[in-house]
Amino acid sequence: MKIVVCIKQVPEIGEARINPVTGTLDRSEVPLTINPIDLHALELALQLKEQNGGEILVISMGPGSAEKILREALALGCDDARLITGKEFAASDTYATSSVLAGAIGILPAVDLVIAGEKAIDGDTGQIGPEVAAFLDLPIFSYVIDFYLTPNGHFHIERLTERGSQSVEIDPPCVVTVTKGINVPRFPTLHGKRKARQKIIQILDASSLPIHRERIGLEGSPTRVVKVENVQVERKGIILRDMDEVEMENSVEVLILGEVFEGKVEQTTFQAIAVGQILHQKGIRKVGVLLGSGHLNDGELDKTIHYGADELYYLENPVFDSLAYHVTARLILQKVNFLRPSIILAAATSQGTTLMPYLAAKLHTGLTADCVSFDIDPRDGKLLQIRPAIGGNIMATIKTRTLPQMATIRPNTFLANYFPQHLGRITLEKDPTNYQTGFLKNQLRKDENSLDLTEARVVCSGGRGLKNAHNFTLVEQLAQNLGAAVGASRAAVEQGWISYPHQVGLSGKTVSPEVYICAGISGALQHLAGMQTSGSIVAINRDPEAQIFRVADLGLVGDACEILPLIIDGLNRRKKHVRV
Amino acid sequence: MSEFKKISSQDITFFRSVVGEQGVTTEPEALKNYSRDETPDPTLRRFPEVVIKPHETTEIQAIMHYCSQNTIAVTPRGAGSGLSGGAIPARGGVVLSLERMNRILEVDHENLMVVVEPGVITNEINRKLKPYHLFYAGYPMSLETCQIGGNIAENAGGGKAVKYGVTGTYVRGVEFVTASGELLKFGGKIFKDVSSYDIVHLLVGSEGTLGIVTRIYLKVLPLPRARAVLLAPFDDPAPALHLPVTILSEMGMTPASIEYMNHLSLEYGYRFSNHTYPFPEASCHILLEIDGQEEEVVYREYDCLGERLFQEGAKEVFVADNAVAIEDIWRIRRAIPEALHLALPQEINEDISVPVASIPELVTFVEHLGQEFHLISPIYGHLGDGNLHITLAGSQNDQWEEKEPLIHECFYSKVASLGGVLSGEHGVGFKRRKYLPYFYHPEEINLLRRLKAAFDPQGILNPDKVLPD
Ligand SMILES: Cc1cc2nc3c(=O)[nH]c(=O)nc-3n(C[C@H](O)[C@H](O)[C@H](O)COP(=O)(O)OP(=O)(O)OC[C@H]3O[C@@H](n4cnc5c(N)ncnc54)[C@H](O)[C@@H]3O)c2cc1C
Ligand SMILES: Cc1cc2nc3c(=O)[nH]c(=O)nc-3n(C[C@H](O)[C@H](O)[C@H](O)COP(=O)(O)OP(=O)(O)OC[C@H]3O[C@@H](n4cnc5c(N)ncnc54)[C@H](O)[C@@H]3O)c2cc1C
Repeated sequence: MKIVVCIKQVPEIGEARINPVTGTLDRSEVPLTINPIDLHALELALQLKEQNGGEILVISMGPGSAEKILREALALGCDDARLITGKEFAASDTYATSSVLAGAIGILPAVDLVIAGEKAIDGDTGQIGPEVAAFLDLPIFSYVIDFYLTPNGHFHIERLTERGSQSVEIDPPCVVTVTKGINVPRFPTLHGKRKARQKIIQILDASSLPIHRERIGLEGSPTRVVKVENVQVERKGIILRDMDEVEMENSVEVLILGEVFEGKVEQTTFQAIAVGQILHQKGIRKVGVLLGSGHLNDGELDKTIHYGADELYYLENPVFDSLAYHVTARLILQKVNFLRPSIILAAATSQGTTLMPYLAAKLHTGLTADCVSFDIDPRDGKLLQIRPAIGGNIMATIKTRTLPQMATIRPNTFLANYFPQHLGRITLEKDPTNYQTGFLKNQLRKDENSLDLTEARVVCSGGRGLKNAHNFTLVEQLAQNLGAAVGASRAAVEQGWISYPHQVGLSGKTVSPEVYICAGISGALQHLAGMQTSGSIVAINRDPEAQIFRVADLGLVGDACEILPLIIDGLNRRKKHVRV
Repeated sequence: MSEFKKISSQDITFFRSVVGEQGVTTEPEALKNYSRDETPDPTLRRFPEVVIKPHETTEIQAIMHYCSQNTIAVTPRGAGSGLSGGAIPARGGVVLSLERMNRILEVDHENLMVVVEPGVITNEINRKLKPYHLFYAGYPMSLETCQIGGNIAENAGGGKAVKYGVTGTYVRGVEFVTASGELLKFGGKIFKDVSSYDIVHLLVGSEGTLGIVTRIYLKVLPLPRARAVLLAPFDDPAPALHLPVTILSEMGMTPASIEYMNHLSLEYGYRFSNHTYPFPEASCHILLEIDGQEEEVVYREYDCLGERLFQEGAKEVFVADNAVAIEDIWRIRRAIPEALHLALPQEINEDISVPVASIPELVTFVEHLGQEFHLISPIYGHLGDGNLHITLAGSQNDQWEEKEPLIHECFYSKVASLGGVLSGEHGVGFKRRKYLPYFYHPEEINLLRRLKAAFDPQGILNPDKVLPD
């Protein structure tokens, strides 16, 4: 088996430094290391090689110093390494980077498998894997949690989705991105280290690769960071560089790619439509929504209109339910080429973060991941895409020079709005074609209770302030209501109200959900160490002086045993309301 | 035993007038957090009557003056991560929590010194120093939790003591408030000082019984640019335990750390951290850390050390030289103490320190002791400086109460006969004070008492600590 692993050199966690003398970001002295999730990608390759034989090539695009991480991969047991480096590649965005990596992989004979980490901790987009797959025209499987070769020589792949998991069998070749849970990376041995020092690493530059010059580096990057600002100090943003002016086309229209699960349109799709409506108020003409599935329940189309769709296109074909993104992308592309929207948006779910990069690469356009805010630039009518960067300390505003302008939206940052009076047009297309996915087996398993604390998007935690095990169940009820995972302070674990694997903090788990809700937790330093990078923090505490309020975005001062039931009740009522 | 005055509402009014409403707590629920430190033994819990959180040194002076006038017991407290019961208010009274005195006052990079208040979390110092390419080397393993004042009071050591020494090595000056409320200063931003008795290093390790440290002058070092960690599993622990002699004396090399973890201690660590080392069935694992300014030099050192580990019987030698892998290896080692405290709250948990060449003999002795008394004994810790953490827990805990004093006696007699001491880094505090007579003659303990009396004639500062009854 011939395996290619793509790895990246990143700054060590928390190492973005401010020079104490000059007060500016100090890039020169930041220690660099291998992207942690890439170690899991390497481990998968090594295990596959041990079990089935074969050869592993590691590639990295980056500065000369990235040679070090390639040597680390060689020390672990990879056979060969290539470094793609040169000034011409500098400032590449994910589109440009993927096109280069795909170019380097494309010239290799008979690659069976390309593996990448789920995302890099610095850029945090997760777009490289799907975009590489699109350039290579290969099937993509993201968020892979299990992978092996069956006795018949098929790949067995299991990937995680919000709703559970998908397991597929397919013939090589394909591209996978792996999650941390897939394996435990090994450490290199002394002999491995010694051998790696002797090896020659092939250096490639733009001239040695079959790539379009106009697709690499800053010039080849469709997205531009136009502004970064510190989240703490509002409006004190520093302008990095201004936009290159691009002629706008007339048709200003936004297309939302929606998701359907078991015949129902997902809530995250309604949230994305709400973004469309926000843009509509800023001058975007129409909000289009594209849904695809094998089956849709009665009333779902009308409901989608009432959430704000002006034009709703529904493609009916079972291939959408198979999550074969390399196939569904083709169908969506046809529609996009026909509609020619200037903006395409989707929720940053496991589907959105896989399908959108795949589409972006095919459309030769840029994609901004995980946006939390949008605006329209009044000067040129272009979409301003705002997302957290560098661990959330900074907000970056990004513009796309090419069309369409694409972005994924962080789930649960926008509120879905129901407009019972809203009118829209529905276009229904039943497509009878039996599309070939290449999947030899495809099984979707529903499992909504498997929420891993560290992966959960919402975490509800309780502490000693809840007083007893009975009150602690309020936290569990709230979590169930929100589809959240349950966390706890060490004090709550010590009381035996919940088991140790739920402990958040220095000696428990480190979590970084989009929303962290905690009740009766004082906010001891060791607890904060495990949750302070969360997107938003909601704290319920009786003591207005509690340390937790210093990190909270929303603080509720009061008795948790009174407040929690009110919230749970409110959620229950809202759910009923929405159903009507 | 001296008598202390109970806290009255009048006292509370006075304390509030000094530090403000918010700085004084009497609510029982809040006091609970101050009734313990990280010592697992549930019998070592005492409630304070009031917790005071001063902001300024002058406030501490006023409080101490008042408490000495009224004979009120005062227990200074850092982060409460101590393992000797040092911060537990054995006689109630005031807990003086230094958590709000948490300013880093100065980074003097020309003189390679930092000036800090006691409540600074130790890791904060290193975070602050990093952009200057400097670091404070005296930190313990609990660096993300503990406060520098607590470190000084316990003369904490850490994983890197083999090369860098312990907290005291870096303390060049202290300011402290005496029991009667005076503010004194000894030392400063200086490297050498024989201009008086070494009061600085008398305060270091005094466990809050001699004075309340309010300002600290710490020496700092250039931050090593390159690091590597070696991990080696062994089937035979004998050559592994002999490694300090092999490496430090025979090879003449000085790694930053030489850590030892026996199979049993790792089993608890694995369960707690949900990760395992390769070769989990090995009888022990050795962890070596090497650091330096140049990658090549570090490479040559670990290459040479790794080769030697093979000669000594290592089954394999793993190398981590990037931050992710280094952390992956240390994380399991760091999980061991908490894992043990959780799993074995009734254990005998030791912090003895012996001459490094005597370690194999001591460990063999512990094995015999274990057989005799049916004990399980996880052993881990700082092999390179002779400071192993030995846990002795009853496997049949029916007669534990009877056996425990006997086990202690056998164990301490052995440690003393090897020229060892009662505690290497955690301190005597509340927990070990009754064992002092195993290690010191009455005259020696008498000198300690006279010293204490010279600083604190009424005995109001951290009573019932260090010295036996
Ligand atoms: C080495 C070490 C490692 C540690 N690791 C961790 C770790 O991983 N995770 C962790 O969490 N801790 C850890 N700790 C412990 C940490 O220091 C705290 O003790 C712990 O987090 C406190 O938990 P708590 O907030 O639930 O309890 P408390 O600190 O007792 O706080 C209870 C809070 O509840 C509030 N409250 C009381 N009643 C009510 C009510 N009716 N309604 C609303 N609020 C109420 C109170 O005002 C108070 O703020 C560690 C400590 C050490 C020394
Ligand atoms: C998981 C874990 C790992 C640990 N690892 C290590 C290690 O590697 N090495 C090591 O040495 N220790 C270690 N410890 C023990 C502990 O962290 C240290 O003893 C530390 O120095 C205590 O600091 P603290 O701020 O928590 O002090 P506290 O526990 O609050 O107090 C300790 C003593 O200091 C006194 N004190 C505190 N502040 C002052 C002050 N300003 N003036 C005068 N007296 C004061 C108190 O009265 C008390 O006697 C570990 C503990 C845990 C829980």
